[in-house]
Amino acid sequence: MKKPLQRRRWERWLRQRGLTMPTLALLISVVLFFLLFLVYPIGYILREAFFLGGSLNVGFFLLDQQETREIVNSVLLALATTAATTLISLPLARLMTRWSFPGKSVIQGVLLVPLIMPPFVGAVGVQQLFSEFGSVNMILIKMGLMDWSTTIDWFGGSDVSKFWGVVFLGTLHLYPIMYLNVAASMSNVDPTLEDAARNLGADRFTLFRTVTLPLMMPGYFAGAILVFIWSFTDLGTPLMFDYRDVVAVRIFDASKELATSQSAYALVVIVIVLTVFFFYLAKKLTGSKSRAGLPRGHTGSRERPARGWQLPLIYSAILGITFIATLPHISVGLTSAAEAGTWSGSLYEEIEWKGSILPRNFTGEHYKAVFAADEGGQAFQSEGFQSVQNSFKYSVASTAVDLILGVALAWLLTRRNIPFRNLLDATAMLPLALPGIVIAFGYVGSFGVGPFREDAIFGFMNPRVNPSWLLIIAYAVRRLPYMMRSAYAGFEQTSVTLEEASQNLGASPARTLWKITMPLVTANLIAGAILAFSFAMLEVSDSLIIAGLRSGYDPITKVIYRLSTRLGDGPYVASAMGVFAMGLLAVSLLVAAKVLGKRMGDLFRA
Amino acid sequence: MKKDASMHRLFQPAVLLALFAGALLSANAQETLRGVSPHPEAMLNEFERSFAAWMSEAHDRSVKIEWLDQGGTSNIKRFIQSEFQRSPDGINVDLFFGGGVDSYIEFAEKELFEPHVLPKELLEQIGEKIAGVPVYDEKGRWYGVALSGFGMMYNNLMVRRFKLPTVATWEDMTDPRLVGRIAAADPRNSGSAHMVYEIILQAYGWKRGWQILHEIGGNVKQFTEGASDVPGEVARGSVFYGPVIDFYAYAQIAKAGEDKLTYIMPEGLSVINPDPIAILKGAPNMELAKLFVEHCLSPEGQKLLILPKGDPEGPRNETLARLSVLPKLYAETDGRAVVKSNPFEIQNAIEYNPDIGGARWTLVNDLFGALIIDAHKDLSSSWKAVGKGTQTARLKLGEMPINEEEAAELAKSWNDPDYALTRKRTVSEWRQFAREKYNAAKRLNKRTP
Repeated sequence: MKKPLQRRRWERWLRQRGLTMPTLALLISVVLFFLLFLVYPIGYILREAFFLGGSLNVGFFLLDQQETREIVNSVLLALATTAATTLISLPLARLMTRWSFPGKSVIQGVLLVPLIMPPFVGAVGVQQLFSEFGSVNMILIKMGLMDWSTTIDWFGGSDVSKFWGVVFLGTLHLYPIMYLNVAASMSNVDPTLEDAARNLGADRFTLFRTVTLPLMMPGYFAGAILVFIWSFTDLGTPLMFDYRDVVAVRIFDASKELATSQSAYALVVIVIVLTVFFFYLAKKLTGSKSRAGLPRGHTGSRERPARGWQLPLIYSAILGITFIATLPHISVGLTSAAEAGTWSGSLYEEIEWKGSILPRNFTGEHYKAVFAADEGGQAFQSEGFQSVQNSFKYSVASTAVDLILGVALAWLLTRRNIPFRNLLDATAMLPLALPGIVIAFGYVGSFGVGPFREDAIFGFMNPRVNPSWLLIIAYAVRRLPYMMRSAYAGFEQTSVTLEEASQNLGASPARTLWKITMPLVTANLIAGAILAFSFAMLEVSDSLIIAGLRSGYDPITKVIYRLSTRLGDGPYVASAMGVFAMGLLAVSLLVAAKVLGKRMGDLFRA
Repeated sequence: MKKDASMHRLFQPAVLLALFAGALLSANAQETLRGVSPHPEAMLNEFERSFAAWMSEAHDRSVKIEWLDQGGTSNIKRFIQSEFQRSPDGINVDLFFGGGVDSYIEFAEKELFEPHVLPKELLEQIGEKIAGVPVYDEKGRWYGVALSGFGMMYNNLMVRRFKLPTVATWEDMTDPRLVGRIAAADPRNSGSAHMVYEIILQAYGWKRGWQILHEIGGNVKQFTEGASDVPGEVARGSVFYGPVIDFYAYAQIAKAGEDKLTYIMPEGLSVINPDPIAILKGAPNMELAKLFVEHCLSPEGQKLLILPKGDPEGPRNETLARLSVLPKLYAETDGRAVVKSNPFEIQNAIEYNPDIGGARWTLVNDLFGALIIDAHKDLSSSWKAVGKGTQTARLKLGEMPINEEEAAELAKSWNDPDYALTRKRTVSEWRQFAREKYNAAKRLNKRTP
């Protein structure tokens, strides 16, 4: 008698919440995914940080000077980058939201160009450009502003100049994210409020300071935290500049001694705590809802056509920024095609250059070196070509994982009344606050023990056996918040009534999802998918840490990193590889822009 | 029927995904050896190609080798130790190839290697000792495959352009005029950088050795991650001098030309060291690994080292310019080899003691790291003031927190996991000690003009 009663209660609970068995199964598989790929690795890191070697030991949390310095450096790096991106983005956003001028939509696109390449690739080229005998110094010498004895190694040599090198590249890469957030929040400021202020006699500056600025703060902080966390935990750029006193590089080094170094785990835990803290801080600052309830006016109304002297000013400001921002890309392009030794920075030539500000001889050799297989037969396949294939495989697979999980999550969250809704939402967003180095570190550690040992049942997941799986998952997990957000937005914008109609006409929920909902949110999904794809193509930290345990599985970025340190033609070939990667990425982003149109920017907002 | 069609459409992506997963998993029919090595790609590729060709001709087996990328020797050592901690019976890697004899002696004692005694006729051909160091382990746990020399390299053009002196001994590198013109590598990542510093310590003794290391450190513009970055920086002209391992220098000189770059072995103070290979304990492809070791030491393998690219028996893609461990090979290939002199006949090397070097490997790295690299900013600012100053101030700059006996004592427990926390604290104290002494040296210099 008891059993059916229990069963009925269980069914009633399901029915009350509108859950069916398939929905429940979906929910459970999503939860299992998170348990395995988020909770387990992080739990493992925590356990090792406190208990490596068996007994509780918190001594490693007392940082020594060196570790403190690394953390301080990383924070400073992040602060400087955030400040620099702000300085560029604020005036830029102001220009773009207040004035209309011919060619504006093209320029909107051009401003986003720097996003297409991780700065770590640009570092190779920028070092050539700014080296002690590089193009920049050559130009200065030619202009008589510098002497042979006073040349400066701008971004090399001392730690201070390396620091600014990393900031320089980080800023050029990240300012579009800041710009998009600032511009969006600026144009969201209700013009009637500003009109009111003007009517009350505020001058322009007072208006900006007391009305516009406070109103756009939430949007600003949303962008700032992305830039901050990104540069706080960036691994690739400091590695390329050989700026080793930052916490990301320390964790990268420590990933090679996972089983013996408790202090590495402690450091990772500290990084997690810090990022979570920074996110919390930003949320606090963004979350001040006091002014959010005010009605919004028509946003387009503020744009005025630029006239007369304003036009050249606007153009030169924007083109100037774009030129500087594309310097790394240009220099990588030049490096990739320069014959070794005929460009500044390489002193194979006699010292009296005839003004080698640009390379004197161009060659296609380096491109050939990337894609031509070594002579010697079948055993050898070109590393560059193989890595493009690998990255392509991983990116397609991780995008597929993102699509499936993102849609499932968004559907569960918007269309079904599931238990612990907020917890699931928060878990899915967690990777936003989890740097790649942390995830990679956790994966390499936790998927090498217990059931994941090489000879155990789940040994195939072990990155020492086959890093593909974890690379795919790591890429997917890190991009999941963005994907889920796109899908979520799509579901929110689509009226439920259409789905209800479909179900009333007898379609199953699955069929409704497939036939009605999916086509309506396709644009969002495609955009999210393309971004997930391009992210995975050039992801740095997971790639460097996870792929190192086998060869033949290297993604593009890992090969670029290795090439850049190769003797002789290394930097040139690495640049050629970088140019190829840029091309791939540019194409996928162009497609995304075509599909998304103006909403492109939405995807880079937190 | 209609339902089936829609089901079919739903399943299509799933099937594709499954196929794709299958493709990822599908194993290669070839036999695969797995190794870790700090050697440059070019060398690994040549040996792999030659081994694969030999296996397919003589044994009709198709093999390939996978080289894991774990960074420089010191990183690889950490990796191997950490992996054995995780999985003590074997780490799914067959070979450890290259990286300086000290590490091999250390690991052999920790029983991380699988012994393999070579056939007698092969063993007899290998030189027994080079500059006091055995070329192979008598129990067969490791074998020197090549020999490495350690010396200095400089950029002729820049030295001439800036009217700077050339260098011939390690002490020449301490000339205060060279400030900001030297690159050197971090021994905590690079095994060959470690070797150079250990050589200086053994050649000049603990106290004088560290004094020289501090002064060179004061001249250093930047410490690079890997030792292979140093010759690159010298060739680029961003620095003019650097301590290097011979074949890195030769590779760079081959590209730039002999008139532009110069490599020298310091008179009477150079070290020639075997660069070994070993089979790791629990190697999954034991039999194949043994064959690879034999191939590396066979005359065919050894010829890859000394013959130039283009020679029918030489390397296919790049000249390796390394020293062979088979003394008779030098005479046999006379006229064809890039390496002219037989190192087994050279008399100018110091007697290097690998047991001392091996025992204090990490300790010396930590000392060098804490005193000279981590506190480099303070060191170079102090050196700029002290370099041309008084002897007392210079000696203060090179002061050591521990003497050689204390170092030997510390080294015994240094790598012990239980000792990790104390080790971390000690290193931290050294950094503090370093900053204080650099400031003190500066003040000392001011007081006694």
